[in-house]
Amino acid sequence: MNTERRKKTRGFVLLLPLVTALPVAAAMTWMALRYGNLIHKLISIVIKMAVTA
Amino acid sequence: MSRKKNNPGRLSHCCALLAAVLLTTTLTMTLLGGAVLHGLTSQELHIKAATAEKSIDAQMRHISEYIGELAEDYSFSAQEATNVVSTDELRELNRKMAIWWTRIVNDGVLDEMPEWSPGKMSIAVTRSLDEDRVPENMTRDDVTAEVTRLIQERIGKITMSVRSALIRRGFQFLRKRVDPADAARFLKQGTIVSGIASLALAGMILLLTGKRARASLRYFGAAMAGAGIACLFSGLLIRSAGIQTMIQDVSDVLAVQMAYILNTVTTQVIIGISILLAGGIFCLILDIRGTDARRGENNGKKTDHSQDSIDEDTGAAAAGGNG
Repeated sequence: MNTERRKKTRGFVLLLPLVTALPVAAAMTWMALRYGNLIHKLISIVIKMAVTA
Repeated sequence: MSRKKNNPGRLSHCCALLAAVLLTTTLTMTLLGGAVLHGLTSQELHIKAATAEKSIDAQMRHISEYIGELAEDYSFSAQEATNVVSTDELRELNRKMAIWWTRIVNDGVLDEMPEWSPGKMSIAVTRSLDEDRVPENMTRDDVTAEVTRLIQERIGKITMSVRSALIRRGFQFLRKRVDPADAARFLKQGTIVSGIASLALAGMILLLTGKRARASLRYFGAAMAGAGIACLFSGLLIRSAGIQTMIQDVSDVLAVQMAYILNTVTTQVIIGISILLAGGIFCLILDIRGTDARRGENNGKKTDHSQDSIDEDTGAAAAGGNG
């Protein structure tokens, strides 16, 4: 029982970084999916307009 | 006051976990904000990128090709004209360009754009010009002046690949609304505030876990390693945008300079991520080992301390939704 709980706690502790990183990663993914194309097009236009040689 | 009373309860663990999530966000913002700030405003970095050997070589190659094209059109010796453009001169012009550019971003000052001085170019062109092939409507001096002007213009464009007229107009447009120097200052202050918020959140975690460093290790570790993972993810996301390829398609000189800046900034971010991951994993291992040691001790002695350990574990498990 004790070993089982120890394993459970270890697993939980090692998974904690993923839990804390999840909101940031989710926000980034959402932004990339929502505005990724728009940002990509804007950057592409700006580069074509601004870069000379 | 009994020892049990000092142990953080489930609510404290939940709040500490929430603070760890916030700490992850602020640490990520600090690291990424610092990298962006460094990439945009560091004069030293821009000078190094502009005067890097690869960049100068690419510029020299372009200039030679262009002089070659002009030599075919106007019949003069391309070799003699190319010899006038020295790499040292080009390096110095690039250095001046980098200072000119970073002064706009850092100080909000738009100075006169540096120009390449033709020096002996007109002599080299005049000396090697084929008299018989000078266009009828032009004199020898006209051709020399035209070629010198075109070369000077081209060198200006190559050393400042971004259209200067666009920078000038953009600067004037922005200037009416916001001072570019203020924007850089805002970014700098934002990064500092984010760093201070990280310290405050770390203090809050310590308070929430009853000022017990050992109990707070789990949350510090989670936040640090979490920030490392989040930064790694953001970096991969930005890299997958393919901005480098877009620039490469338009200008290989700018692509070389951008690659230098990106490599330096990426190295800085990778070092930051490594420190965060190493620190985070170290804290988590200390926490696991501490918990194991406490349990082992408790199993042996069967004292009241076991209750403390159980309380702590159930609290932590509750915070993670495993309780």
